[in-house]
Amino acid sequence: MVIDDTQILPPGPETVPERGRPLTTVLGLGRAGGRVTRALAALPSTAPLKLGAADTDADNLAECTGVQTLLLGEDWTGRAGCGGDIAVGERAAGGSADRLAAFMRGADRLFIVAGLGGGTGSGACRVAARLVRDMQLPAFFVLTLPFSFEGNWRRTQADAALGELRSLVDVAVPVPNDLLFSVLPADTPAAKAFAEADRVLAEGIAGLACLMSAEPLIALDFARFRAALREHPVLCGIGVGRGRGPERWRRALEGVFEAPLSGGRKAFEKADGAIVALIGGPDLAMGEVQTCLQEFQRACRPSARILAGAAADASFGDAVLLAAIHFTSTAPKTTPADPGEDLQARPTPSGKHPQRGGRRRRSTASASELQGELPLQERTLGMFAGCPPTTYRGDNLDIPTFQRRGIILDTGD
Amino acid sequence: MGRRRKKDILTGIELGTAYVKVAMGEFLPSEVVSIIGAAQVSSLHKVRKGSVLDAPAVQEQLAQALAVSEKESGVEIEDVFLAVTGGHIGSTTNVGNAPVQSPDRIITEEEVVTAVRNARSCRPPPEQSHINSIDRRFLVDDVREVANPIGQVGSRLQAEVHMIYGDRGAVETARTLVAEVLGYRETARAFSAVADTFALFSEEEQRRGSLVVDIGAGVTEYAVFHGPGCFHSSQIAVGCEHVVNDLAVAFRLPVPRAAGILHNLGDFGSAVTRPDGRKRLVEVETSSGKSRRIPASTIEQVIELRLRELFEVVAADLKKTDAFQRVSNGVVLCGGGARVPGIVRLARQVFQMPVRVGTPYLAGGPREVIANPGFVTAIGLLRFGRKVREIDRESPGLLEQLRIDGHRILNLAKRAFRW
Repeated sequence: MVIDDTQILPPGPETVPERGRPLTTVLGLGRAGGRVTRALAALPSTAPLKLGAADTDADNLAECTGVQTLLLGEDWTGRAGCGGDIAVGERAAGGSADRLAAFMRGADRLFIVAGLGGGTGSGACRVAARLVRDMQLPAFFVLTLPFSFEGNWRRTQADAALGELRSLVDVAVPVPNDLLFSVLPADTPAAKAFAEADRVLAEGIAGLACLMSAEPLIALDFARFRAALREHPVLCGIGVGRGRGPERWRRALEGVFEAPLSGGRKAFEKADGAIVALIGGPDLAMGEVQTCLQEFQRACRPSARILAGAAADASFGDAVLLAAIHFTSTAPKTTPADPGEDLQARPTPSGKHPQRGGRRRRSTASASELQGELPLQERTLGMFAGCPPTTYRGDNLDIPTFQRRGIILDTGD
Repeated sequence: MGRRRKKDILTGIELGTAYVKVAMGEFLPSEVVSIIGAAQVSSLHKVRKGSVLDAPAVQEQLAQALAVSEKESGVEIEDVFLAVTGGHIGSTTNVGNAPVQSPDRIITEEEVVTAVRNARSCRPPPEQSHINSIDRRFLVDDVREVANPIGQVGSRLQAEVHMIYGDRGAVETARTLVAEVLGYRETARAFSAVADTFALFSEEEQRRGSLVVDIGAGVTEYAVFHGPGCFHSSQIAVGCEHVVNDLAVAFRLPVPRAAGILHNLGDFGSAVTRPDGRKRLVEVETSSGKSRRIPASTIEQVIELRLRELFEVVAADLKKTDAFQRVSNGVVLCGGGARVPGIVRLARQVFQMPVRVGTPYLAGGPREVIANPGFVTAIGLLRFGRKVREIDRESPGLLEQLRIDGHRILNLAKRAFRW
């Protein structure tokens, strides 16, 4: 089990200002993003949050009550959405880039939520990524990937957009919608399933925002997120649980495993790593934190990389919130070449003892039965001994060329 | 001679495996670069395969080289440009897109800047330090490759940028070493092959397609430039020291004697084997004092095997990336290794293209510097440096927008804006 608590990390643009509480801004792009921000508005939040939703479709925005709305690209799309065309979405967002930038400015931390695969979400994300980079804001891009049943085209678009965004942004948390099926029963009405997903995402974001703006007991900052999630391309699941009363952390932990977008306990067991944060009231004890995190560790793989954070927020009273993000690498795993079963060549059979496979019996053949030996080829490194070799297609080029090619030289007398 | 203004003197530094080289020069109005001071000091085996092994020792050698240059030129060093090389250097192509905003779908400067910015915004791989970003290609609507995208009609512009990275530790060691000697950091750094291209080819030749192969003592670097910038660049950490090592192992000689044989190759043979058995014999003194006679053809054989393999590796990589097609004028060799007799003929056999040893174009100065292919990188840094300063001066606002992580970047597309 590896818990990354004392890693030395490259510096990131992370500062916690001295004045007041840091401001977390959440911007939802597209219809999915808008719904999540609406769910956030409905949550009783403790950290100062600035919420906004941006979309090309005016009707979607009208549904987003309780948040500031931005209509993108009025002149391009005529308030009717971009019809699933990423290029149109990007152009629309590009046209309103200064309004988006004005909204994002002043944030200490930025969460951008979008559903990939459609038009506005994917397109506006690119513009947002650029703005975030220019303003050097620490930003988390929480992205949802469409259900498998939504069709190949949407999935392909989403994967392409994700691939591009991964290289553009600091922290990307991609969550496949398919995870919903792993926890919710199959007869859940679709609307309820989507609403649950929105709620979990909203709670997850709220939890993380809280963690980073509250008084940290175990610090978990932006740079660590970035280090953990950037190593390999990953897919994530988010789980949030709450608890109150005795053994509240256990209740919260169960809540995490039962959360719709977490993939269940199995997903945590299979994950390559996890980021877990526990937030409680002023009476949150270190012992409690320790037990909770140990229990969480036990639920994960022994070799999983776990980043833990904890914070105490006065407004939590006697409740605790446990938010966990697990990530699994989607990079193709390289396996070392299999050398094969029988490494030893069979000795030449003689009349006296037929030998089967060199492994079981050590050859006691006499000299006449052994094959003629070739002179051992010298592999001399000369002055390159002890230096990192120059390798090319499996060859060590530091070894003299004539030696590697087995060329016998006439070196005179 | 009146006192030259310090600002106009550029200095190039290369920490090579065999020599630390410094060149100081200024640009005359006729585009000629005039070398006013240069120095070459042995690296004392403290640099191996382009990477610094013993920083304080190399620092001393560099300080010596700088002192000699300054004395020769009569001016103090100001802006410094550093060549970076090593077996750890790699490159990637990053792509950036920009949708065309205007309703009549004509691509403007703004889209080019956006696309290039998006391409450059990719972070370097972990533990790697960024060295250069050079435009590679512009594609309109993913299909049409254009030299200058401005004025083209289309709905999407794709900019490819060739980004060169190196191991952070190695790069920072070299940079810090230089900074400690000078008291300030270098103004910009360039991969050696990029600097070589700037030295040997005019902008027009780079546009049409150029290939340079720099054969150093430790590392052989190569770069293909075409169109708006660099199409491909790479290195292989094999150089003349490998030739010397091969000779030392083959004939059981101490390394300095083997180096002497390579140095005097022209007296008895060349890199292309003339298989005449034992007709030509070379007398070599062994450490015990006795003298041996080694057939010259065997010496040539060892050398040819090594150099031929080196060129084959380079050629294979260029073929893999389709870079050969972009080269219009054949291969140009530079670096200390270009002086090996017969190497041009050998390269011609492997590359199947015209090959020549390059000398810096439009360069004036002491003959031993200009005619020495080992100085091409340092002189190239002066041209590279001037380009970087030009971009800085011309559009500081634009450069501010393009700055990523505080690194300076080179955008050859700016040339297009001046058309």
